[in-house]
Amino acid sequence: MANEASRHVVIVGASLAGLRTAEELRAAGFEGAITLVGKETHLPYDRPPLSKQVLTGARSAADVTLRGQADLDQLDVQLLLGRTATSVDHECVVLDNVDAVPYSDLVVATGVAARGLANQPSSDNVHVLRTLDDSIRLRDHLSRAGSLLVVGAGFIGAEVAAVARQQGLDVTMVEALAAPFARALGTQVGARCRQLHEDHGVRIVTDARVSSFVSSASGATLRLADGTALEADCVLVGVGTTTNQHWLSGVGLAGGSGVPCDTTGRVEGHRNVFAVGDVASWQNKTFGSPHRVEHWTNAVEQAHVLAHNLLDAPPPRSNHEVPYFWSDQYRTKLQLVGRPDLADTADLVELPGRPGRLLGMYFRSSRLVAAVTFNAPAVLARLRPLVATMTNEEAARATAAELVGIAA
Amino acid sequence: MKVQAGLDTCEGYANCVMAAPDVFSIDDEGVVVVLDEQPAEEQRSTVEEAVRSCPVLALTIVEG
Ligand SMILES: Cc1cc2nc3c(=O)[nH]c(=O)nc-3n(C[C@H](O)[C@H](O)[C@H](O)COP(=O)(O)OP(=O)(O)OC[C@H]3O[C@@H](n4cnc5c(N)ncnc54)[C@H](O)[C@@H]3O)c2cc1C
Repeated sequence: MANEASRHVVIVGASLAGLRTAEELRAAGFEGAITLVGKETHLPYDRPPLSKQVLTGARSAADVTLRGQADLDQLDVQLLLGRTATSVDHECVVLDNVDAVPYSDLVVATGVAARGLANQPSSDNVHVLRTLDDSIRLRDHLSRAGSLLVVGAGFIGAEVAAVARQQGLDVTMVEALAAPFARALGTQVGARCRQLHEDHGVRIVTDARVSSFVSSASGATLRLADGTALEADCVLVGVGTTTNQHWLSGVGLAGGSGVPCDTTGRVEGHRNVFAVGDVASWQNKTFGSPHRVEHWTNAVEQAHVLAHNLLDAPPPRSNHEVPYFWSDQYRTKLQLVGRPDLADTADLVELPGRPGRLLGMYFRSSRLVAAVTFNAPAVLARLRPLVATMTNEEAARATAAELVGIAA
Repeated sequence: MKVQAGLDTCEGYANCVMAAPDVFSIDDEGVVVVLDEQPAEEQRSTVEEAVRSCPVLALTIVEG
């Protein structure tokens, strides 16, 4: 490897994963050049508030900036905002089809984009939510709308539904599957989440097949295969994401869902290409198969590990192998560790003490692969190591029983 | 190592509790409580993880 001072790390994607990678490289003592390229014109900002505090107005656009200009200056990175990486080869990244930026090491941190529906009309009344601009547009629309239709019962849809109910809108949620939230939480816990929303007055339509989706001057109408017509002033489509990796065809990484990496972020088959955050699919020793995780702390922990790897330093301890996610809906803080998608059974129990505290555990072949809590972070934190070792059901239940008395 | 928490900055994410439950807790108002202001050196990596995982950068480690 070239000596450090002559290295030039080019990080593409100037959001959480990209920024944290730059910071971790500097914290680890890297003195070479770092360029951070981002398509958006905003300073790097945080996404979780976009479906929460930004929509309620509790935080402004400026409040979600991850680092101020002074912090970025101090970091000594060349920040190229409003620039899109359009292609790449083994030596250079090309920006906006014209400028070639040579790299010694490339870090792919381009995240994901919101997917729309195939027949989704392009209209000011129909929204997706991924960027700060999306969030501001949705916030402004919710403040003057009387009704909201959420297409897709996932976390983003659930959080937006919660904000809209708190603002007094009529809210309907439409889901293609029989059980809402099942993709992320499984059917049992998904059902409890459904109840939370129904308790707050959200109407939930499941098994929905969309036959047409049209917009009008005042809103939009979704027709379902069974003839139901759902109209609303404002529609949010939250049906998942696609990875931003099409620009990587020059290095053979444009295909598939996620950039395949080893356990420390180096791209398979490449010496000097790395990937981090929502776009990256890292090998996972705990669960044994590569996996892409679209969670906030995953990007942070991966950046921490990757920076050491890039500098050939020993890998630091990190919890990134066991995914962790939180979601805020109404006054409920839902937190999840592990991989519910791997489970073959799951159950959910009420915890003693304050109402609204729940614990769910997910097992695969009688081993703990995930756990979720509603309003009980301390309980979940102590179950996390048991998920990391896929503890057997009996031992996991015994530990959970001991923990149940713990104050959240 | 000494741990400091900015109580005005804290937004109650509870990510610190997830990383280091022996050092941090969240009270009923959703504000961080430092359970152990001078955690033992063995706790360093979990405390550092807690600091990293705070979305609003409310936590700091003061050496010494
Ligand atoms: C509304 C919302 C709410 C969320 N809430 C939570 C939550 O409560 N808890 C949780 O754990 N996680 C949450 N997440 C997920 C979390 O925000 C992501 O995991 C995190 O943002 C991942 O960071 P990233 O840097 O990998 O990707 P991103 O944040 O997607 O950043 C990628 C960046 O790369 C840029 N880019 C893409 N292509 C190019 C290109 N070709 N050239 C240059 N730049 C490019 C993009 O513009 C973007 O700025 C939420 C996400 C959203 C959208």
